[in-house]
Amino acid sequence: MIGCILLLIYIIINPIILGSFMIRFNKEKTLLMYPLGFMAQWVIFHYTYLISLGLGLHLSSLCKLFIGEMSFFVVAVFFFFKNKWIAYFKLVLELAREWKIFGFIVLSVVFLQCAFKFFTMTRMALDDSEYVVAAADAIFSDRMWYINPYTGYGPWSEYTILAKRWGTSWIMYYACLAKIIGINAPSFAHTVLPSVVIIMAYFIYAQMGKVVFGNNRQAISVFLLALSWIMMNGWITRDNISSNLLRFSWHGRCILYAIGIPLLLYFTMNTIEKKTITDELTVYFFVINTCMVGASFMGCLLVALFSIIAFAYILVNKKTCVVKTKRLIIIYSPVLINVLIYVYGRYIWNS
Amino acid sequence: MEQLIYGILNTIYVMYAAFFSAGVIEVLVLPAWFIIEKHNKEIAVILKRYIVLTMVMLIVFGTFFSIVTRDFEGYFVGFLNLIPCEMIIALSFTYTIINCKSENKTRLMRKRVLLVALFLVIVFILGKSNYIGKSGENQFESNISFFDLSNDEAWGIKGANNEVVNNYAKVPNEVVQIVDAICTDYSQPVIFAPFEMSIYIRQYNPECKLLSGRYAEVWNEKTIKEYNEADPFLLRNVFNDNKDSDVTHIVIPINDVDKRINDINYARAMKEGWQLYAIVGHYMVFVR
Repeated sequence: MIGCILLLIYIIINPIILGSFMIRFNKEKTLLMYPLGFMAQWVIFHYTYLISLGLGLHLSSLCKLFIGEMSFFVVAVFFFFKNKWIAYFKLVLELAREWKIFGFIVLSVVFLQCAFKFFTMTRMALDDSEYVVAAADAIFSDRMWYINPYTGYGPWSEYTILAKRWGTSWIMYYACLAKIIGINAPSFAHTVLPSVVIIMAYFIYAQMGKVVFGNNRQAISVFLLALSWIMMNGWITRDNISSNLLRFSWHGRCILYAIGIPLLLYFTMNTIEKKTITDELTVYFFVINTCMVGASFMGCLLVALFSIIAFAYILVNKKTCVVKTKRLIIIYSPVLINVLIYVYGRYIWNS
Repeated sequence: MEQLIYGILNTIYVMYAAFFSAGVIEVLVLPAWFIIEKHNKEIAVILKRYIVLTMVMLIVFGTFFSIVTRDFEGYFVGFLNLIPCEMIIALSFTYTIINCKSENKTRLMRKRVLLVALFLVIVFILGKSNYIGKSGENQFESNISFFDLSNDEAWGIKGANNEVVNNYAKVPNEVVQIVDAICTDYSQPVIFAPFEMSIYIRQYNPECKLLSGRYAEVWNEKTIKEYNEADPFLLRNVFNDNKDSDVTHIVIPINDVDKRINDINYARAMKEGWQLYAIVGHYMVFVR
């Protein structure tokens, strides 16, 4: 019972509260409320995890710190903005009523995909024998990245691999959530997380559809249904979006391909439209980049490559975009931190 | 100069392989772009510039990395997801449907139904395209889909019993039975199991230790021999090599084709001082 309540709090309530704050109760960005809220919760965890790892804290201490921080943030946000909540959620309900049949059909197809992951066999990947087991080991031994997940013996001293893993908070994030909620890490990763990730992804795709089709609910629904059909049939290689979203939903790669890249695309187009990176956009990019680098070390490369493409696009199209250095530093600080951790782990700690 | 040319050609080959031989649905991006251009030139121009820039950057990036390291292909294929092919294709289909025009409402309805049916069939067939012409391991990779509910998705587990798994950890039922059987009497067993099973064991119960599995022979200090088949010649080594090691249980697959191999394994195990602990599904479990 307590586990169900905690699951509700950490998977639904916290992200909604944080997400509403992130989007500043803007009705136009309602679809991004849940994804941004979940990512904001992850960002809070990411930096707590890095500090805990540096101090050599155990997973249980990290969980206690995380619970304390989340309680503080969520309660603070809830009470500080309590006047806005009622008005905002009335708007959200109105929006939901407007969608009616279209919303029902789209949500049914999305929930079908979630139900498939929940009730049936999940396509296993060899990487699970490292990532999911590392999360299970962290809960079992209360130590992060201590036990070799392939063999069960510790200490794990392969620093060429560990240097990449230390900066990757996604695995320990769901280990922490699983520990708080009281279920084992593989069950959380293979059963709960896929539904969360799939729903987040479709909210983001719906928002992108809204950019193209405006308030045409019929068009957005057709777009999402077509996308669902492509996702369900696109399981050809393990590296494309379809395969990652519906086969390996709990992998960091899925967060990169199915959630991070679309969000980066969306907010970059926003930036080009506004001709500058506003404070709001700085926060969004910071959150997204933190999640990208926290999902996988490959996120650092993807963020760097995407940034080069974005800057090249602005130059080639002769668009003006005023960017302050301070904001750029904030946006790319997660990448820098992860690269420094990698260099330290690979070359300095190892020696 | 040679390295540069090699790097560029290698990168282009990897991109071609990723788009055309492994992911056929991505091929639809080109016709999708033409459809979008017909309905919304502004978005088509943005997409065109973005895709071209991305391809150029990927070629530059890929060339650099293919010169610096030979092991760039695994990462590189993932970078192709910077082009959201699925969304572009879905966008083109949406434009086709919503901008479909006809004076007669009935004809318009029929036209839309036909377009929807065509889209569903094309995507379905392209999604299954790798059935044709591939065999062995590749065919395994391409046989699975969203609509396969059977346990065949389990990574080559020989005892695949075509049932949906009975646990939320999504570990095959056979592995659960074997690990539960072993852990009933032993608190922290050290198990030597076939590769297809060892990737699941520690997911189900992290208390178990493994002496085989992915990278175990490279990263574990103990000498490990990894095996994938019920080959009597290899299994002689398995029992021999594990005489002095800490392993407490050895799991051997039962050979359905040649029953004599099972008899040989059993006799060999008895000779080396192992006892048959359990037969679970298609596996024999020996204990020291």
